[in-house]
Amino acid sequence: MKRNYYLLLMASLLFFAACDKKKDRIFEDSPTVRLNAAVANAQTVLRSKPNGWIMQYYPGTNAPYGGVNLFVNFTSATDVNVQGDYTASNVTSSYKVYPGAGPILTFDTYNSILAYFAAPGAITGLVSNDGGLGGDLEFLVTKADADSVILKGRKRGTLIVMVPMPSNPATVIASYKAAWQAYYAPNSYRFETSTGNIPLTFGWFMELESLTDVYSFRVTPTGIEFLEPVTVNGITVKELTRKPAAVGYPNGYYDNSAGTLKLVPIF
Amino acid sequence: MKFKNIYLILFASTLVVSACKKEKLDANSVFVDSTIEKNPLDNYIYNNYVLNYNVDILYKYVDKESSLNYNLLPASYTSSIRLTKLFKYLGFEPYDEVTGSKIFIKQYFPKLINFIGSAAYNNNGTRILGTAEGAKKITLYEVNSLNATTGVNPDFLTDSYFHTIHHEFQHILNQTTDFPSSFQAISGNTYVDDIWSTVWGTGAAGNGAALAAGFISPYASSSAKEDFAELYSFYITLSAAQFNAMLNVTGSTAAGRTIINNKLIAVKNYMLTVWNIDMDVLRANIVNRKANLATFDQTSL
Repeated sequence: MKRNYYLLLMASLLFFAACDKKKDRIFEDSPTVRLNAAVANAQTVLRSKPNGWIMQYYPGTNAPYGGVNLFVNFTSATDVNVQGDYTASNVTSSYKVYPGAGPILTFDTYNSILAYFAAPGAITGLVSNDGGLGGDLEFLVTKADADSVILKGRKRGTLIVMVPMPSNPATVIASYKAAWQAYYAPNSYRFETSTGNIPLTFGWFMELESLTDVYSFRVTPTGIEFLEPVTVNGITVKELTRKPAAVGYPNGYYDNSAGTLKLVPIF
Repeated sequence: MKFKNIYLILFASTLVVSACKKEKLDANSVFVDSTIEKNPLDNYIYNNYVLNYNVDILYKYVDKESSLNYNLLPASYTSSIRLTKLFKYLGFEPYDEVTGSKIFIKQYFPKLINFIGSAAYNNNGTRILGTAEGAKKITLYEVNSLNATTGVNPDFLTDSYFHTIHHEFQHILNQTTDFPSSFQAISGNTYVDDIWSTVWGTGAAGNGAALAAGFISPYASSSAKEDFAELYSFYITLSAAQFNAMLNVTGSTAAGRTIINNKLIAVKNYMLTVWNIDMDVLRANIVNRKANLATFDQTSL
């Protein structure tokens, strides 16, 4: 009898303790409030640039096909205008920002510039029937402020950075397009270093491939910028600068600041 | 004993009291839907589909309504306008006119129509043109193939979209009131299940072989319910001349045609007795609409 009484008391104490749900919150507001605020912030930031953004777009898991510069301008609450360095097209379609694991940016009607990367290979003839280049159309907005927006592709997880377009968009876009044309014109390339040359060919899209490595980068008005630093014959670089024609290099070349690594076009 | 019971009851009652404490739920979702201004197509869909038929069209890509197993492209705005208008013209209005009101479609048609721009491609190059999930949703693929030329091509429209639409709708009618088991008895144990795509051979020869065995298409041989839906959809979407041509393709036989015609009688009888729809009247309506496609305005909202 007496034993039961104590047991009961103990059990009831346990229950009270278990029911105490109060916890110190790490954040002031509830997750819902913060998510709603993040969505609103992303929407505001995207629309805050009247000249739009330069989107450093890399399709595919781990970005194996190189990257392009897309010129993305969120012109209204629903409309987005897209241009690209690799194409003459200028296409307006729709977008939306909605709550998911965070704010999610989706390009939700057909846009031929983005579709080139997102389309299955059965349409584009690239890589595989079902896969294609594997470009994402939906992105988790992981950071959005006035300096930059960082997106993470929802299917492929590739990080994509957007930086604000300068005040003279037409000139900037023209210079990117000219840089792309110059880069894409040759039949192939080679790396030149003091210890030897490495022949390079184009892959599925605009990336360069040696027998053993794939080099993924964007073309910029000043040269090319690799997604990750690469090491060629012991020389590590992140950027190469475009140089005009010179003796022995009738079509110009790209090199690093020390001049020890050259990327030479072959026509 | 008594002492123990009292405590037990007291203890239990406190538990009950605390367990019953409930927070009142707010009727509104905690997630604020961003207010997005409606464009002309949004308004058209609301006024013509939602209000009249209680059916909604998703022409903008919504990931959770689409298959994540495929790489899909969103539908384009201009193609979506065409298909939205054509869907009503060739998909809904024939039923409205034959049954005399919009109630039939409102009551039985799937509530959600999902537009996808590209087809769903598999790794082997085959593709999916349409799917239906339960009685809730129809997904149409390759919407971006619709343009000024294909939009007035009745055969393209039938093959790409409307054969699928009427086929899937027939499944939903069957789920509401099943067709008589006597239909299944006609082709009996000759249904081939999953090997329908290979067993008859490919291309035109495959169609002929399936017809000789008493199936309107290779896919119809997969099961009685697919057979029923295929017969229904081919019959109402094709003119008499087109349907007869289909029955007489190279490789077909009189024996096969007899089986198909027997099954067709069962389908027509089911539609008439269960749903009060004369399939010949419905076909005449659809064929007439297809003939007038050139004068149908499919771009203005």
